[in-house]
Amino acid sequence: MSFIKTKKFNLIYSIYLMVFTVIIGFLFIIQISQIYYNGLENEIIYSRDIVNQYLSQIIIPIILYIISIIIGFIVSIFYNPKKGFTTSYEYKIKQINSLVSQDIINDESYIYINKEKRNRFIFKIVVISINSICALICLLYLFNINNFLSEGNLIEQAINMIKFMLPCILISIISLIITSVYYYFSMKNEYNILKKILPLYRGNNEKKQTKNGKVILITRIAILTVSICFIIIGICSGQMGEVLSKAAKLCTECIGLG
Amino acid sequence: MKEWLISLKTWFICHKPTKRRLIQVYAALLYNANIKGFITGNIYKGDTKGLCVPGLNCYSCPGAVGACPLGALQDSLSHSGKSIPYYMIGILLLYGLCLGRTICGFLCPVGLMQELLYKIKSFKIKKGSFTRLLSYMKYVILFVFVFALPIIYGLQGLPLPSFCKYICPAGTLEGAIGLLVNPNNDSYYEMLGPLFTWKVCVLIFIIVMSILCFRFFCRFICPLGAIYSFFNKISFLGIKLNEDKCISCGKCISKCKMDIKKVGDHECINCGECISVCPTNAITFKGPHIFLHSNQIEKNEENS
Repeated sequence: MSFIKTKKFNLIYSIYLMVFTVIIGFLFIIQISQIYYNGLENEIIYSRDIVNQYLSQIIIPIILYIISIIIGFIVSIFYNPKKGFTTSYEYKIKQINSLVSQDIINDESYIYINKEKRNRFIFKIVVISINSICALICLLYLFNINNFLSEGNLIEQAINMIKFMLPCILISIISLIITSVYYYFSMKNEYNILKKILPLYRGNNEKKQTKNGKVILITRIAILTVSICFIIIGICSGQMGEVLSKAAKLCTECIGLG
Repeated sequence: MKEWLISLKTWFICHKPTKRRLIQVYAALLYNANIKGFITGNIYKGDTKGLCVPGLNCYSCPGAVGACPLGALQDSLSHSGKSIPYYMIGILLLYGLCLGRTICGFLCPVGLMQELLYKIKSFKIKKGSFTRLLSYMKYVILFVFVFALPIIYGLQGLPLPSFCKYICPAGTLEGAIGLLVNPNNDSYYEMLGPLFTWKVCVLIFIIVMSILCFRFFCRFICPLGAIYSFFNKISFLGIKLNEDKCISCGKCISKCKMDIKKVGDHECINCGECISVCPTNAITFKGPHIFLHSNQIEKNEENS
């Protein structure tokens, strides 16, 4: 298989597996929710038989998923394109910024760059808000018991859930894609402008000595002394015994048993 | 056929476990050395449980032989109305000072699990400004779930290990599921309810995201990593960057899958993967020679 074909295969396979992974995750969550919400109608929520019964319903997709992973793993042994490094524009911009002097602030191009930065910040805030709202709506649906207590079967409930949640998920994904594309072009633009004006405003490229060895040494000695003192005080006051008594008992609340 | 055999051989040579992976596996096995517990379905009750392990490992796991630092810290804080938790603060300071986030990279079983999940060849979410922003979420979780809620509820006489109770995937996977799969523990099924449902959903979400995103839990959620990150710059072990040698090519940042801004900052887990890509050998392991040999490349360069 040629390099391009291998690369294409890897791309298709990775997208396929990503979708499959998300589906499997959703199936698990649906089954767990089903066990819980159906159990509320009866007296017993969980039992080994009920868990086995519900999880056996999704055994085929799980087996297919595992087979997909194994096949992909075997194929990747023989057809694996070499990966190269790509440095992001964000990092390149930072590198250039570290080389230029403060006079650049008055440059017209730099004022334009600042506008771009502001736009990116606004974009980021808007996307975070959109995603938070979408997540909130989905969570409200998931935690509304009435959505899962109807007499409809599992598939019907799953379809209702997808119908309700899919627009939110799509909006969220689209907003993230748009932001990523916008960020890429905005940063590329900024990088090119900075590269052009760099020779005019090149500052002193002297490396600053940030680490002060003495301060670090004093901090280390202080923390070491304090930590040893605290441990000794803790052991003497019986706190180690408290940790032991807590850890030696099964904490059902900690592990989510109830 | 011969080409396939060569490919297979090459693959095995390229993918033989690194020293870091072996240390991760040994650490996970050492934390869960009570194999008898997995068979009987009971947790270990020996004296070693008075000591905390450095990584995130649930003390309710049938195999656990040490206490979880986060669980013990929350428990101590919930009793902080009576006394200051000197012991736990001392332990965390000591671990942080000696190892920093090297613990995340080398000694955490949850980190190992996530790295293995990430090996599944799915489409991956790459790091960027959004993930960097999200990486500060773990500090919020640390403050709210590990410090604020246990102290507030503890002062009212209601001990609440809120992070363990509502979020921790290690507790669900190692503790709850580890106990429930054992046929001797069928009685535990009667205790399960909404909390377990929520925690399994959180666990599934974290597993799925760990397949799609490198160390999802460590980067965005883990409060233990957040605690150790404060010590990363002053810890005895870790990664150091020789700024005189650095040519700012950015290969180390590109190679790193964590949300670091520069080598050795608070997000760096000191895995050392950037050492091999640095063209000027400016990155080395720091630390006393008793514990760790410095980078061989640097040594060779000095000799030459």
